[in-house]
Amino acid sequence: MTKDTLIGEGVGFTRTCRVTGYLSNYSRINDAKQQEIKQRTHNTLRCEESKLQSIA
Amino acid sequence: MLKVGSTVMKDYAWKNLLKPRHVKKHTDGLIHIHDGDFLALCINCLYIPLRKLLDNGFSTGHGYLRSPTSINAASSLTCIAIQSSQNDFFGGQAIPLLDYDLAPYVGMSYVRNLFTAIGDYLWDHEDIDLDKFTEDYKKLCKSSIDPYLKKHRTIMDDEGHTFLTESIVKFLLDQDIILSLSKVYKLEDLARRKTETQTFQAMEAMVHNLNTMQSRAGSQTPFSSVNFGTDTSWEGRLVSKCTMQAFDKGLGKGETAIFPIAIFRMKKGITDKGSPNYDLFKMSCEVSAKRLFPNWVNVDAPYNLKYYKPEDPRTQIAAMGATAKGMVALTIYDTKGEVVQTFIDDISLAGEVLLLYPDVIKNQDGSKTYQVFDEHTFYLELDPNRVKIADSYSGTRKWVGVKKFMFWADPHAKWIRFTYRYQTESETGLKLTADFSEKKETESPDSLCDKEFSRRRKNFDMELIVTEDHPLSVYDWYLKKYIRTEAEDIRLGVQLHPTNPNAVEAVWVSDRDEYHPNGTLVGYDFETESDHFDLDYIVSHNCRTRVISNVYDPKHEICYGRGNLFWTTLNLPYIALEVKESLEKITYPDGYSKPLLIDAFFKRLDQEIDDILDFSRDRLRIISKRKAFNYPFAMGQHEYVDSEKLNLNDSIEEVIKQGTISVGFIGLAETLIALIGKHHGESEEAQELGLKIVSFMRARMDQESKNTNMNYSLMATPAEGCTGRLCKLIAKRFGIIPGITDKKYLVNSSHVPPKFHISVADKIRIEAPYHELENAGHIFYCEQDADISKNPEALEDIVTMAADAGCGYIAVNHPVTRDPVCGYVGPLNPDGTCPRCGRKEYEGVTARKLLNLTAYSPDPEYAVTSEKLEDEDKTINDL
Repeated sequence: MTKDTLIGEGVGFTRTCRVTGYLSNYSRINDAKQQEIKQRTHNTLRCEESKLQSIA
Repeated sequence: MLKVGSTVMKDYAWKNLLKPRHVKKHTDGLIHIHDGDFLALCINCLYIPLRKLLDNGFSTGHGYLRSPTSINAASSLTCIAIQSSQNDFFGGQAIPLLDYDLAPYVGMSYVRNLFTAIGDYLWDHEDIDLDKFTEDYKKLCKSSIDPYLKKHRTIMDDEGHTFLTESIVKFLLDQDIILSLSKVYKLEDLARRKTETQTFQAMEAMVHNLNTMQSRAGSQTPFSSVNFGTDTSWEGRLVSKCTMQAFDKGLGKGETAIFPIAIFRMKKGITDKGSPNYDLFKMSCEVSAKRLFPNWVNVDAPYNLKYYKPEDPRTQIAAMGATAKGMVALTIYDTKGEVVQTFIDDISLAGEVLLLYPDVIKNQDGSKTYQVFDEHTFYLELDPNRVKIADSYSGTRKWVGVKKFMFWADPHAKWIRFTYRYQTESETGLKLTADFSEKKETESPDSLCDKEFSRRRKNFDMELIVTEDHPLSVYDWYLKKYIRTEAEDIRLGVQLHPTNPNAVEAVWVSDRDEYHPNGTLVGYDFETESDHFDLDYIVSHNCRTRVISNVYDPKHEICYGRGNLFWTTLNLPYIALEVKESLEKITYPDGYSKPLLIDAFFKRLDQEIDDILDFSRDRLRIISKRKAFNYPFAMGQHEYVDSEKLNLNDSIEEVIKQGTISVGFIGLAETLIALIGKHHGESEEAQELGLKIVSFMRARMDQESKNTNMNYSLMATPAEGCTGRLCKLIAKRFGIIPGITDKKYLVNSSHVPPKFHISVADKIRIEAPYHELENAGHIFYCEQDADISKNPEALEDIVTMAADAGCGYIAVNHPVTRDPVCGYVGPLNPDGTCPRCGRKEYEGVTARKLLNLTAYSPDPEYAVTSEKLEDEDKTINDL
């Protein structure tokens, strides 16, 4: 039997995101901006999809 | 320690330098004083004049850095310049023209690589003294080729190549070396390849440096940005390409570089489809689809375009618009202000008349005839005090100064012919705009013009032939005002801007078609002090007017060597809620109408702008007391415009007048919800009100500029640090209000709320009109999912659509994730696992699996070591 040495337990992914013009790592942004970034909604390329999402 | 210093400095400023009411407004959250800790020390940001620094060399304190002679050295010095400059400012450091500024040094590397290749070849095949050969070609570079490159920027065009070939031939003859030209051309290819490698290394080093080097006594990396993309020379294109390649590659372990902010400059005719740098624009979309950078700046946005001068890349050039014909009214004055000539005739004859009065021609070279601008364009520089033209843009015809008269004959020009009708209100049966219908009959100082215009109005239908990029003034029914629009965007039925305000008439476009002249058609244009003039009964804008706006010093209407001094943000929702509260609780406890609330809001906004301008004047006074020696790099090394005029002990007061002072705003969306219950993404009424509010603020800035002869501007506050603070303070004062304080942040400036479902096209349609008003800065961005990384064409469509709509600064957001355990960068699998190593966030993966990956670049702390492998190989004995 072989022991599995696991690497990376407890290690998160690094997420780069746009603050405004500039970028930062998500973990280094203040909590208010983090919430704003989390709430950013996908902007659809087609208007109809967007309207349907609004109605939903 | 820095934090302590910062806190003490802010406290000192709050208690000793500012008026208590301004401090209270900041503390309450009605305004936000940005970078208060630096308030008494330094100013915000700078567009670094890199070319000037590199061409002349510079000092950072001890010793002097020579002008570089290679792209590698130039790249290093660029980073040092940014780092040193950052110490004198609290805001960002931008290189506005990275490609143009570094191009000569790419050329220098190329020339040295070519000579090295020739030397190596001769070393192999001839008996030469390589040391002497090297010494001699370096002397030649220094004395002749480097100065040529500093002047012309490229050595790879026909003229440069001829110059270089002749220099090499002469050099070899002087050395008694015979080498065929065909061999030299072959070696050129070798030199080109080597230069490409070196330029990539140089740009990669720049990106690595700017992500790691510390400034401001080690408090953070410089807040840097670089602009590129429009230089079409081989050298400039290589800089743009290699910068993007460096971003694409990422940092040492594939991390996405967050500095410098990479900005690709878009310009029709240079970067759009069919243009020389379109491949670079496509590349920018591909890299951004992976790395979030570059962003895009739109040189074609009307408010950017007007600052673009073809002869000066610092302004970024525009296609030349022109009109083929049209009546204009000119007056020429003598030195005592007496009229010596009145000219009311076709624009094509204006040049002949102007040449009759040589003393009104103020060409910089002293000549009294046409100056050559480029192969198609010729112009006269005029004394605006001596030559004036009729301009009815304001609603009353005025004489405004003329700075230039130009004519232009490009065989490739695209022309549009408009037919339009000049009708009175009774003739059209339509109510005309309030602007003119409310005008009362006034005694026009130039009634002569009116009479002449009427006399010449023989036909019902009139005709105008202009280039497709010629800007005209047309009525925007949505904005309820005349706006500048390029001819190609003007459709049938559009109302042009009439030049006869007293006659209450309208001008309607009744027909338009492409006009194909027989042969080359000559176009004419004026550059006036007001940006517009009367042309054939309608108002025309100048085709090419001023550089980056500078009311203090119009000759420096460029961004190079200038920047923002400081800005202060108005918390718009705070004002709206306080006005509402006041009406509800104090003034009208039994209810009030919506118009009353809006009216009260505008009155209060007006008062707050008065006060924020008062604060700005105080802050300017404080910072104006600083001396040149307080800014050893910005002023000492003459980065700042006109700083060479200062001695180290001189005050910076006069010099910083070149900069801009801005008032920003935050939370337009929440403000609209407070005032009418909906934000501008969900209601046309809200959009109309939003534009009215932002237009009002912009008008106040313009008025302040006029009153003070300083550069005041309106900023779309980016809402980074202050977004949470201001929202928290509103919540504390007014409680939790749905759509306003039921979250931790205020929405960025004039943006539609981020959680509102809206298509890209609608977001562009709604947000683009604000960019023209926000002349101190703005950004449009939209959110895309991970699929965009596989579809850069879609990203290209979005960017082009935003640019065509008039957005000035554009970015597209999408998830960029990196797994530090295996080094993967990109979108995750739909189930949230890493596509490379297959692990879920916070879960482990076996060392053996990691080692079997074909691509593997982990952070050092997660790298598989022999120790870990040994652990894995150990067998657990079954007891």
